[in-house]
Amino acid sequence: MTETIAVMFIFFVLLFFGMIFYYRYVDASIEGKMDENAQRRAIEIATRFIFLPEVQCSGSKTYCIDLLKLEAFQKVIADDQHVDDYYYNLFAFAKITVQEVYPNTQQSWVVYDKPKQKFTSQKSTYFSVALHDPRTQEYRFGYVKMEVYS
Amino acid sequence: MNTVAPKRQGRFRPCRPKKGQMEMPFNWIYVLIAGGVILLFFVGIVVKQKASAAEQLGTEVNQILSSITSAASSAETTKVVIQLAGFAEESLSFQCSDGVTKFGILGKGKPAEDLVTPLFAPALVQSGELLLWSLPFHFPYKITDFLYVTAPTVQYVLVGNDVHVQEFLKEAKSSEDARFAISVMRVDDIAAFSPSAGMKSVRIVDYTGQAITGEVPSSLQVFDDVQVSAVVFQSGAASFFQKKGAAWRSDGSSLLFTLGGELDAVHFAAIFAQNKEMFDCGMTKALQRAKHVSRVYAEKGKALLASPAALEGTCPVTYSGLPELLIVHPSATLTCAETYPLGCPDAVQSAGKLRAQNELLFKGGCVPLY
Repeated sequence: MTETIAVMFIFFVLLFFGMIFYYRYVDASIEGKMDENAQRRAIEIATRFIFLPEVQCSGSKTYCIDLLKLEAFQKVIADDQHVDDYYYNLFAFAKITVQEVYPNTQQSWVVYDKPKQKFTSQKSTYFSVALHDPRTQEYRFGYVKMEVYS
Repeated sequence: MNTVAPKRQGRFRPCRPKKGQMEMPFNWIYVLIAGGVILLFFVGIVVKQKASAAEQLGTEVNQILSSITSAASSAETTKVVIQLAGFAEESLSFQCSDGVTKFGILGKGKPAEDLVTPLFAPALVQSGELLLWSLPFHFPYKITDFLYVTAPTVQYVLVGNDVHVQEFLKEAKSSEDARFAISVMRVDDIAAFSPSAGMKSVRIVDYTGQAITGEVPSSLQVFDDVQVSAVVFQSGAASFFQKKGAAWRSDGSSLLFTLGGELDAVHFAAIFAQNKEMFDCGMTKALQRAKHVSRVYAEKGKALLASPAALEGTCPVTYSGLPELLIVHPSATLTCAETYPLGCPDAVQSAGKLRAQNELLFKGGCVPLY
């Protein structure tokens, strides 16, 4: 009887350690997967923004943002909660900032800002873009900063 | 003492083997039961893990598909081939209702959902490859990209000599990726048609209004009902049909709200959408987007009108028609999106006027709206 109890005890101790090891492994792999998903989502959302007809230059020029449309889009999103909700389906919890680099380094536009209350990670992606002002036909240089929360 | 000891020995001696005989079978039964329970426990874990792994794999594949479709629909006029080697035997399901497109491996994992991209596809696709094609939808400026999903195992049969027939035949192959090849053929008489080998479904695209009248061609009657469908283009509308036994069942008609032109995204949407429900659902999504894009252009137009560029040369005269259109078109688009299809003819009209106005600005050397 004592032998059986000893065997059972060792068996359950091994099982316990086995389960702890397994759950730690699962936990780590889930964290890794979440990290990978967040990174993928950041790139996906940045791509969506770059090709967004609401801000893209006329003639569908790639990596070019029309500044008049950008300012208009910023206004439309800020003015109407329904519009903001609609774009949540595209950008989810993220912050999109367009930063001018040349000639004016101080100019920036926060186009979309929906932070997650209790986020576990934040991934940032940068894309360089041309900024076109149709009024003056001038091209400036800048980048899009995409912060994605998860 | 001497008399007791032998008595005791005599009493216990015959019992010992008996106790031993009882313990041995008891231990074996105990070991078997305990072993069986432990084995069942692990078998249970393995079975559960296998089921959840299959489910998880399905969900992951659906998510990856979602990312690919999202990327394909972002870039304009793309033709992409997705290899589904491991899932060649599985069926991919596509459906759209109430403004939500759901797609994924049939019966495996949680389907991917999309509330924004207008996606048009057959209801079921069984193939080792997916063909993704995107075209921009203009109303009159670019609103969004329509995404068409099909497979080399879906055969498109074009009936008639419409200009769209030549266009589709030309666009069915990609100049950049030789693997992108939509199976498409033109026929004069649908009754004489027989599908190519290896085809899992057939879509008849009729420009004559004569092909979908009587019975389903005999060569197609062996297919399941869901695998054979048709669309008839007549008088600016698309009528959708589905095989039901040996006959055609009408799914209803939808007016095509479009400005026309080459590579008309709305026209191709009707070709690739399984049925009226999917077509209307995709159009509703596109018009919801148009509602917001139009507001952006209205704001851009106001900024343009207030800029010094609007005062140069003859531009003030050319721009004079713009302010009214910047009010009328967003309003008409809003009505169209909210009451689709009822309020849409007005939106098509105002979109046409805005396009004409933009062309005037362009020709006059003024900054165009788009």
